[in-house]
Amino acid sequence: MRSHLGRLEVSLLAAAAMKALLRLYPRAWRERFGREMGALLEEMPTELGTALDLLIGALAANAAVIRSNRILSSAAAFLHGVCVAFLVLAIGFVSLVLASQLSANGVNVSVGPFQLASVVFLSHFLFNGQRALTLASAASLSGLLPAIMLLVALAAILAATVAGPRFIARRAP
Amino acid sequence: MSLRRLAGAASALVFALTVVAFAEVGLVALLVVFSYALKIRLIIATGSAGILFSPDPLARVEVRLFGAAIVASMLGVFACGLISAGWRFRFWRPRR
Repeated sequence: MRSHLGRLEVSLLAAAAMKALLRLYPRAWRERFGREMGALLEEMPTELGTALDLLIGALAANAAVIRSNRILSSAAAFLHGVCVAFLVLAIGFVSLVLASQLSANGVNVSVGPFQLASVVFLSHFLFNGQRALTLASAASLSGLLPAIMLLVALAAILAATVAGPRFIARRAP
Repeated sequence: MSLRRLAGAASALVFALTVVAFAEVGLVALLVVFSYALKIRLIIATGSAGILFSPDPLARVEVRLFGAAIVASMLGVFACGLISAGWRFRFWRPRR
């Protein structure tokens, strides 16, 4: 249903779920502020924005706990580094496909004597042996569009992953 | 080296290897999804064996990933995580 201000409101059932979101906060935080926050949530309208705010707040509170411990902080940094490498590798794969489509030739990626990857174009033949389609040179925009869209999406996710911790750190209590 | 440090180092290693293993499995899954989205034939060749993912029989592009690429990606992911964790461990300061 919609409120007077036209904002999207969640159902009454969701109000209880909103209170349950407080469980995402660290235990120390809940022991200190949980009761007050619960009372405050009962008075507040149950809006989607409030739920989102609670989620980001929970992330920030947990991040503050993790940052206060050297080992936990290093483990989180390891995870973050792995996530960045994962996305860079995925971008590399899509770039390889895109580059090979643009060049319309096969691409070989190798480091010294080690061959890492190769991209080849396939020709398709009919039953009688006549060549039916050779799509290797058909690097039309419609053919490139899925790869370009994937590349843009991956770049956006990478930017969010790199900037995410700083954004959360700024919101930390 | 004390037993406590040894246990800590072993735990860190197990954690790191588990994370890298999950990342590699996730990466392969993502490449399979991409091969469907981009309509390419993906072959992951490890030695004499290989895995073929072919979403479209008329796929016009074939991408072949060799064993060296898988090893390189594992080392790359591990190194990236290690550098990130090492940097944080070295320059970590308690909040004032």
